[in-house]
Amino acid sequence: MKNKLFVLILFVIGAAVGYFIFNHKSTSSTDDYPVPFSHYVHTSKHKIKCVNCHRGVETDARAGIPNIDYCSMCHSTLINPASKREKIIYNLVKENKPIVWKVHYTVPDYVYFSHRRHVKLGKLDCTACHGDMTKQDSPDLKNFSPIMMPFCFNCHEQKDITTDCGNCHH
Amino acid sequence: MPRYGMVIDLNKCNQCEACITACKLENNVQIVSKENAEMGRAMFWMKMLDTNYEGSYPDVRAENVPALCMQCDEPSCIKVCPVRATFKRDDGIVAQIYPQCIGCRYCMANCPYTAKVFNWFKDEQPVENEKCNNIDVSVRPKGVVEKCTFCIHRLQIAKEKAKAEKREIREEDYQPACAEVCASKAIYFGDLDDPHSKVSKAMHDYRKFTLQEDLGTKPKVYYLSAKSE
Repeated sequence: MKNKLFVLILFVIGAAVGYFIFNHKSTSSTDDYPVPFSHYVHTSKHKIKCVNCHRGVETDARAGIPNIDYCSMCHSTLINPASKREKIIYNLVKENKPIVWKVHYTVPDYVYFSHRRHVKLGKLDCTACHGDMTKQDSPDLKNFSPIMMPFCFNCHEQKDITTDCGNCHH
Repeated sequence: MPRYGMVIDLNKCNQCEACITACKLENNVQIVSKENAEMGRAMFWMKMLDTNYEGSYPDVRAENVPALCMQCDEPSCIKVCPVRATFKRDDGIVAQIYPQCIGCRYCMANCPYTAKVFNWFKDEQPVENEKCNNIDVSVRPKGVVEKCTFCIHRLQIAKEKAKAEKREIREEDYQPACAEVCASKAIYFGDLDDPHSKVSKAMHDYRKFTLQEDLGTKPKVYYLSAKSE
C-alpha cells in the first residue's frame, strides 16, 4: 500500500514538472515564431515609424500587421547578406509565403477597441500600452501591459473619459 | 444626430429569405443542433412571420413579413432590464451589452415583437466553423439574450473610416447585412430624419404601416403594404 502511494506521488510530481517544462517552453521560446522579427532593427536602426508598418493605427480600429507583400518592398533583395535573420524573411518573400504572425495584444470579441481614437484623438503614445518597442530585439514574449479592464479604467478615469459600458462593449 | 431606421417594401419582397441567412452569418448567430431546431430552439435575429396565403389556386399569393428587432423609439425592453444590458443609443439604435446581461429574460418577455432570442446552450457548432465567424461581432456565451442591432459593428467601422477621411458618414457606407444582400432591393435603410435619404422617401409612401401600432412602442422598422389599392 505504501509503495503504491509513493509511486502515485512520484507520478503526480513528474506530471507537474513535465507540465511546467512544456508550458515554459511554449511561452518563452522564440523558436515557434514564424519570423524572428526585431523591432529594434526596424525602428531604431532604420528609423521606420510604427505607422509605416501598422498602417491602421491612425485611421482604423485595428492597427494591422503587414503582410508578405509589404515586407517585399524592402526585403526582395538581401540588404545585409551576413544576417541569418534576414535570410529567413528573404526566403519567405522569394517563395511568396504568407507569414502567420503571432498576435500578443488582443481584446475579447465583445470589446470594441479603436486605435484611431486612442492614437489620433487621444494623442496617446504607442509606448503607453505597448512599452518601448524600439529596444525590443527579439519577438515580444510578454505583454508590456495587462490588457484588462482595470488597465483601461485607470486611464479613462484619470483623463475623465467616458466609462459608459456601451461605449466599448457590444 | 442621425436616426436610423428601415423600410421593408412587401411588394418588392420575394420571400427568398436571403436577408435571414445574411443576418445569421454576419452576426455569428448560433447554429443549434438538429434536435434542438426541431424543438423550436433555432436562433434567428431576423425571421419570417407566419405566412398568409391570399387568393385561390392558381392565383395564390404568399404574404410573408420579414421581421427583425423593431428598434422602437419607446422600447419596452430597456424599461425592464435591471442591469442596463440593453439601452437606446443617441442615434436611435437599441443596442445590447452582452457581458452585462445576466440572462433574466425580462426583456424577452416584455418585447411585443418576440425579437429577442436567448442562448440556452453553449455554442454547438463544429470547431472548424469558428474560422468563419465574423471577427467584428462577438460570439455570445450561454445565458445571454441577444437581438438584431442593425449591424452596429458596421456603423462603428463606417464611422471610424469617415472620421479618418474627415467627412460625414454617407448612406452607402453603412447598410446592415440584410439590406445589402436583398436581391429585389426591398429593404431600405438609412437616416429617417434626412429628407434626401432613400429610406425617408420610402417612409412617406401611403402604404406605410408598422407592426402593433396601437402599443405605442414607435417602431423604426416600417413596412409598405403589398396591396396596391
